[in-house]
Formats: sequence, structure tokens, C-alpha cells
Amino acid sequence: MPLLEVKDLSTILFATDKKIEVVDKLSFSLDKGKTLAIVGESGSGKTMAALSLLKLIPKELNSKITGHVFLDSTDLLALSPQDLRKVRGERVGFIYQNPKRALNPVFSIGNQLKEVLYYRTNLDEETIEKEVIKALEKVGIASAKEHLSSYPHQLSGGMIQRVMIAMALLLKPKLLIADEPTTALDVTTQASILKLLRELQEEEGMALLLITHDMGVVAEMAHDVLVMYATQGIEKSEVNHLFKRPLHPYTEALFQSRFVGTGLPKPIPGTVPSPRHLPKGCHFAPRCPKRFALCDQEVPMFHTENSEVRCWLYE
Amino acid sequence: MIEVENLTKYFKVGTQVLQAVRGVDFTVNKGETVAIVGESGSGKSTIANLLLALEDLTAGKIIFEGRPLTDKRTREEKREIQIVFQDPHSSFNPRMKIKEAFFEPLYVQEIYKTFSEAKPKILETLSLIGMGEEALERYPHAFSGGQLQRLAIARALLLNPKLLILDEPLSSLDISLQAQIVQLLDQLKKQLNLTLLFITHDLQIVRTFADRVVVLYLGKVMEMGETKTLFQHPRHPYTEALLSSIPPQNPWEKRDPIPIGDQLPSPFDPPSGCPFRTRCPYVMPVCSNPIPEKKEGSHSWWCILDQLPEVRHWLSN
Repeated sequence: MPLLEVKDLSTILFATDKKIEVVDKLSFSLDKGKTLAIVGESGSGKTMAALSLLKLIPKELNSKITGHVFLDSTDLLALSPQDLRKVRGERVGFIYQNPKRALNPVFSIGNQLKEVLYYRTNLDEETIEKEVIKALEKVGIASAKEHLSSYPHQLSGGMIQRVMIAMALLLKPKLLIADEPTTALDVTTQASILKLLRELQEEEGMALLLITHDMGVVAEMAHDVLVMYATQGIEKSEVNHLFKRPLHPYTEALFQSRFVGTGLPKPIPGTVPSPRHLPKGCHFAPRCPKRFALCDQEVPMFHTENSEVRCWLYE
Repeated sequence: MIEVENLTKYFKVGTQVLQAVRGVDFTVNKGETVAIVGESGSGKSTIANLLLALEDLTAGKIIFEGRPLTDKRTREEKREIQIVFQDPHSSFNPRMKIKEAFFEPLYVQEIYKTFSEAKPKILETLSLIGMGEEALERYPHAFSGGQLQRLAIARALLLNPKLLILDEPLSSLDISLQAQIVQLLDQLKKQLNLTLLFITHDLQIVRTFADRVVVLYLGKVMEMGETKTLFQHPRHPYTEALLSSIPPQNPWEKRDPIPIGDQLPSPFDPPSGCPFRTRCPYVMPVCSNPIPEKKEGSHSWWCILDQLPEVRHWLSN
């Protein structure tokens, strides 16, 4: 049985004038020790989907989340706010794209890390400090003890992302959700952070849900991939299959728009539609070079030998 | 077209001196695309600011088409070098319609006195990026990031610059938009015979787009040369490390990034000799002495080694 099983996850935002569906019946599963990458452009709904798993969408957006999110067979969406709060952090860790904004600028690193254990465990202060230092050392921060009194602004972007990873791992979660964890970082730093995540995953047997728009990061990290486009999952596949033979015309176009080798990439014409004005039927049809008559009808996920794809070509 | 010699910029911060750019030499020839590559803190954006006279030089010379440029530029000199910044949302005034944002530089430069005189020029420039009159009455917030970046490029072209500096023009954009903007730049470059100075930390983009590359580290040039040569046969360990950290193209290709850590030494007190020696896997005692330039044709590097110890094949094509 998979560690995480998401079934028909839908998220609707109630704006003043209109109901906006930002995640549309998303289903996927993730096994212990594996990495699933959710790939898509901005506006595809990938971050909204990740936030919906733990009901983390800001209150002011007025959201309604439906479907099931089974973590070890408990449906997270059915939990009371108190129980869900225990799941966040303890069983599921979260790291964000912009680590600087995720830390409080007026408290020291040590303070913010210790707080986690202080509220979530019954450990005494001395043990808490030891655990925090151990966690910082584990993510490769040298002289961890001295860094306890550092403030976020004193650390580089790469260091702060390491601190965030240490914080997310303090309570040994079974699932780590990482939303564009290296997008704001330099290439050399990106390489070392991705390596760290892989090593930690191997050691702890943690499952990783990786949200990214970078196919290079996917190639390096993922076992399975879910491609999202305009609120929907449109292709789900094992990573080698996806890179060898992408099925959905959007996935294909996404691969052609990558910077690889020495030639100029081929852009996808047009832009991602806003979830306020989604096309009828296949959401990619207006930009699709292969569209035909069937495309204005709603498309289900079709199962092929190695993958699932939301395109009438594979009926 | 542009030649910089011993370009140097120090900033005073309290009682300390931050050495942002430390004696950089390079040239950009007419019609060329030159990329300046480096991590954050390498001084690449400071170089852009110096070329635009947004900062005063601490030392060094900038020679543009044979004439030295000082910090006090004439109106004509200012026109000749323009820039496109990383974040298009913050490079437009949110309260100005596109029409006003486009008229302003033409007015300040006293090229046109009224909008109606300027309109044909503005429309002509908008047509370069595939936009028309309907854009004029709209505010920046009505455009997506990709559209705004196209507008920022068009606005930079209004004054017919000879050199266009692009400071991380793609890093705030999604991958499919990055491809669109690069294609637009490539087309504009051919159409208008532009010279481009492309500042970025993304080596993969450099590889598809630049003719020559300057690798910068802690305010100094480590290596420069033609893109192809540099990618196939890097001479400096820093360039090698940067290349090795490009993510693989496919999941079945495993890469092996050279571990150099992610801590840049302090720019207040940069290491003597080779600045990269504190992170270099091949460091030797002699690296703290001044490093002479090595040359092979147009390829230059500043490392005591003639060859990297092992040839690594991380590029499949």
C-alpha cells in the first residue's frame, strides 16, 4: 500500500465574483522512499495542489477542498483541525521556494529550530539543543553550535535552505513536500541541496513530493512524474518512460522548450489559460498542434501500457 | 565595440570595504553575444551598473567605440547602452500606462516633445515584440510576466542602443516563456544588428545563446573564451565545477557534481592569489601567489594548472 494516496483532490476558491477551480480531480500515489515530481508551468495548479494536501491554503482565499488524501490510510482531509495540525510537521514536512520568507527575521536560527521540538515533544531543553545541533550537522552546516545564534539575514540562500530542511526533518516526517526547493538558488548550491535531499531520503526512507518546473531537477531526482496543466493532471508516468517518450502533446512541447544541447529551444505558442477562463474540453487544445474534433469534449485519463494520459489521441 | 580595462568597484560599508569588482578586463565585439556567468556575489550585476554609469568607477577604463566613457555621460552616450532587468514587474512603474512608460525615455532624451510625435516610433518598436496599439492604454499589471519582459525589451530598444545589457532576463520566467524570450532576443539581434551582454548564472542557457563566455568569481575573471571551447574544454577548476553542476538532460544520465560547497568567501576580505582556492579541489600552496594569465588563441584562463587533472565527460553532445 502506498504511503500517500490522493484521490480526486479538488480545490475551489470562492472569489467575490466567481467560483474558481484551481485543482481539478487530481489523483496520484507515492510509496515510501520514492520521489514523485509534480511538473508544470506557473498557473498549472501544482503549488495549490501541494498546499491542499495539508489544507494550508491561506484563509483569505476562501477555499473548499474535496476528495481524499490518505496518509498511511488516514484521510487527512477528514481530520479535525487539531489532528491535522499534529500531522503537519510530525508526519509531513514542508519546504518552500523562498526560504528567507519562511523564517522569522527577528528570531535566531537556533530559537526557531528549538521551538519546533519545544511545542511538539516533551524533551528537556538540553536534549532539544542537542537534537537541533545534530539536525544542523546532518544537513551539512559546519560549526552548527555557533550558528544557533545566527539570524536569517546572516546566512546565504543555500545555508538558509539547509536550515529549512533541518527544520522540516526535526520530527522525522515520513513525507517531505518540497515546493521548488532550489529555484531561488545558484547552480552549484542547487546541486548540493539536491544531493542532500537524496541522501537524507535514502537514510530515512522518506517519501519526497517534489514540485518543480525544471526538467533537469526531475531527471535527477524523480522516480515518477505527474505533469500538470491548467488545474489538471495530464500525464502520469515512470520517469524514464516520460523522458523517452512523452505522450501528451503538452508534455512533448514542454520537452522541446527546454534548454538542452546547443540549439535554441522551441517555445510553446500562447500562454497557460487562467483558471478563471478555462477552455471547454481539453485545456491545452487551443495551443495544441494536434487538436482535432474530439478535443472540445472533456477528456478522461486514459491508461496506456506504461502511463496515464489525458488526451483523446490515446482513447 | 566595448572594451573594459581593469574595471574595479569597491563599496564602503561602514568601516569596511566590499571589493565587488577587482580589475576585470574583457571586450565585446560588434554583433556578438557575450555572457557573463557567475554565482550570486560574483560581481556580475555591478559590472552592468558600471557600464551604465549607475555606479562610479573606483578604477579602470570603459572604452566604447574607441572613445573613453566617464561616469558623467552625455545624453547620446547614455542612449547607446541600455539594460533589461531580471524582474519585469519591478522595472515598470505600476501607475504609468505602457504609453507613458514608453514615451518617457523619448521625452527625457528630447527626441520627441509630444506623445503624438513619438507614437509612430513607439508603435514600430512594439511591433518588434508582436504587440500593437492596444497595449498602450494598459497598465503593467494587466500583462503577464512574459509579456512584461517583452515590453521591457522593447522599451530598452526605443532609443536604438548599440549595446543591450540583459541582467538575468529569464530567471523570473517559466521555462516555456524563457524559450519565447530567448527566441525573441535571437530574432531581434539579427534584425537590428544588436550587440548583447548577457548576465546570468544559468550555464545551459549560455550554451544555446552566447558566442563567448566570461566566467566571473568574486569580482575576478577566472576564464573566458568561445562558448564551444569553454564547454568542451574548460581550463579552470571553477568552470569545470560550474559545468558539472548543470542538471542532467535525462534521468538515465547520472551526473557527478564536483563538490565545492556553497560558501563564497567574504568579498570584504577575498583570498589572495586565486580567489577560488578556498573551494578548489586541486588547491596547492602556490595558489595564494598572484596567478598569471594563460592563453591559447582567444581562450584565456587564470589557473596555475595548464590542464585539469582529469578530463571529465559530463556533456553528452
